[in-house]
Amino acid sequence: MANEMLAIVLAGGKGTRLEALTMKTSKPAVHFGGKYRIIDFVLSSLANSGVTDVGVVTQYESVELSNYCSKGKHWGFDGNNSEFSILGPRQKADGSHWYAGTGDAVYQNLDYMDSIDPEYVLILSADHIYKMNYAKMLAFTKSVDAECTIACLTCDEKDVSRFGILTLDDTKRVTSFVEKPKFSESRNASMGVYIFKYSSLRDALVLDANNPSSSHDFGKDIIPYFLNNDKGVYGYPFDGYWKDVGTLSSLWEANMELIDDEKALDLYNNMSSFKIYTEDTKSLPQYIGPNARVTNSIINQGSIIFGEVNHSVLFTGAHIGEDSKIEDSVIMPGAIIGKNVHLKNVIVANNVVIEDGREVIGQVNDIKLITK
Amino acid sequence: MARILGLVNMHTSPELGAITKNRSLATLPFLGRYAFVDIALSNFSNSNVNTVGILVNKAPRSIIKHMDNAMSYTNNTKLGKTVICYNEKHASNYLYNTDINNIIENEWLVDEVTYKYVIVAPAHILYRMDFNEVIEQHIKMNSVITCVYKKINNGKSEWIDQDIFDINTNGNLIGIRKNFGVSDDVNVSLETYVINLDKLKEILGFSNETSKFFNLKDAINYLSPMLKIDTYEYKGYAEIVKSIKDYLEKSLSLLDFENLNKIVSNDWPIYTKTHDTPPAKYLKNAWVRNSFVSNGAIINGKVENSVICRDVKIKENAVIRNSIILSGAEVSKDAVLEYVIVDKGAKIVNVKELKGTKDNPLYVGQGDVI
Repeated sequence: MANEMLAIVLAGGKGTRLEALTMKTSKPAVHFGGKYRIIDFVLSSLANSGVTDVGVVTQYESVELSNYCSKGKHWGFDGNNSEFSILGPRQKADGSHWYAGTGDAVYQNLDYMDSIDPEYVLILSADHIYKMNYAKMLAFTKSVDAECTIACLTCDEKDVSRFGILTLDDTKRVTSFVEKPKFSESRNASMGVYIFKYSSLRDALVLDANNPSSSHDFGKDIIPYFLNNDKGVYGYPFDGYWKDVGTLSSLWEANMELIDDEKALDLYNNMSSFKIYTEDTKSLPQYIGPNARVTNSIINQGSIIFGEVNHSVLFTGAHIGEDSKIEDSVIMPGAIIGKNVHLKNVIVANNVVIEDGREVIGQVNDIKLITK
Repeated sequence: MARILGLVNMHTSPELGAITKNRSLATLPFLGRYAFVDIALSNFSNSNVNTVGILVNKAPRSIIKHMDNAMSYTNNTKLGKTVICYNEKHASNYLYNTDINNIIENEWLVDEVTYKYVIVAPAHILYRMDFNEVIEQHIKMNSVITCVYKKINNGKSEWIDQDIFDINTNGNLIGIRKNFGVSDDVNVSLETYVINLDKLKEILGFSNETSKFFNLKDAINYLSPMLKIDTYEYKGYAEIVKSIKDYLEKSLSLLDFENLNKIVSNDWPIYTKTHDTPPAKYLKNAWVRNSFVSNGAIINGKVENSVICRDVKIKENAVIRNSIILSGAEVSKDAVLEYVIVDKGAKIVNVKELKGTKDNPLYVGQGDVI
């Protein structure tokens, strides 16, 4: 039996504001939370929601991400009742086309979607940290018979200029949608998570592709098209934890929230009911040495700690030398910190080796990224 | 490397009392995230032995659950396979429940492969062995059987009751006996044998005629006067766990980082099954040193010289010293534990002090609330 909803995960972005962290890999492949990569959160949410037909759209520096996602086995998408594909830009009979926008990326894969022939398509970005049950959103979509449903969260007044802002009527129907307004009465921010009836989306994408003035973007073109043509667009309020980790400071902050705020992402309560799946590493056991001291931190298997760690997140295979002190920092996988090093408010990039005696102190509002 | 059939032999695993009542030692947790059987399986995997049979003597549920589909060990692909061999016929009679009867019961495994050599390895010895080296010697010397041993100089106190080898000046095995602690310098058996497949088939044939209770070691000992049996000295790290005291002591001795690297390192990983648990979380009152901590653990107490397994909760002001806390167990506020092994899912709630000793560690049973 065909699954009724296909998910298309947009994972082609560069994430420029993550600076050197995305020099050689795409943003969804960046590590987060001691063990995970950013893309694990949407793929695990899909798995936990029972959405098991998944296409992952890649473009920027896609080798690491494609390897990581291969066959979808980390999330259980490699079984008989799943369909998992990596959808990179391809050479076609009529030429080669990089994806020109989020809308274009999906348009260029219409042949793939046709082959699955779903009733609904869930479009989402792989850039955010949250846990969401998309099955509930689909149930809502059906209950109001929407052509398009947009998941939204409540944002602060100062943040309206960062989001697409929706105004909803009493029935949750969208009455207006403005991209990044300076002011707005509404606080409903689009999460960039959409469920479309596939037939409607297909028509809209074909029209959009033939429109030379379009930027081929979901937020700027496709959603406005649905609204302007009175296609029945609804908002679906989401009230869980959601975080955009698009900048160094937000990436650092979201890691710190895992330590500080029990309710933030809820990795630890109900551990078995909504697991975040990820790769398994061939690492050593987590080892805390004879003179080490560890408090208030999140530390993954394979970390070897001889020094002092406080209020920090340590990834797989992070090594902290003797007499070193790590505070308020994020140490990415494989980073080797020498002896007598002092780090505070920093992010140490993957596999960086920090020589003995070095001191790097950032500020909460100026997180330092160490790449060598 | 020559293609080889590996056999993990659980039949010779010792019983440690209550802790191995419902499981074999092979599936007892080791260093928090592993099980004992992972050592043998990883030695095979790291030595590129891709076809492995696991000779299960008891408690098959536990090993089947741990093995999952064996993909963690890289050898259940089209390039190899891992097979669980259970001796259904003799499971209820321990006298008949021998490794040889198990192989006979699962004889298709040895009939099916076209490999020339079989390596048998135990599930209860902690060692890091590259089987390529012993195979190389075995081939070079045109051996039929090669038995692996380690020279020790503390036989009066260690490896008691373990098989020891008498070896002549040519390096041939002349007999196997038990270590009664009479002398310090002995060659202890690592229960690791390389056997030519056709010789193994021969052994399966004559063993049952000689004695239905024969196990592989008995057969090799029986053959030693009439067949040239070679030996191979393993010089690396090796320890054996024969009691709950050993279990605690040998686990904690690996807290010496140099020791740890003798058995597992980045270039010699131990593979295991993933449970998709989040990283370990240390709360504000956590104070942890000289310990192994596994993912999913949430620690808000003091932990020293201990092994904390998956999903363990150590509550505020609790103190854990020289102990092993197995997965899912919970130690509540203010409890003090020393030299205790707390089995899976147990909860220390009402008792506020539990103190064993190095020689007599206390044991709290699986799922028990105390």
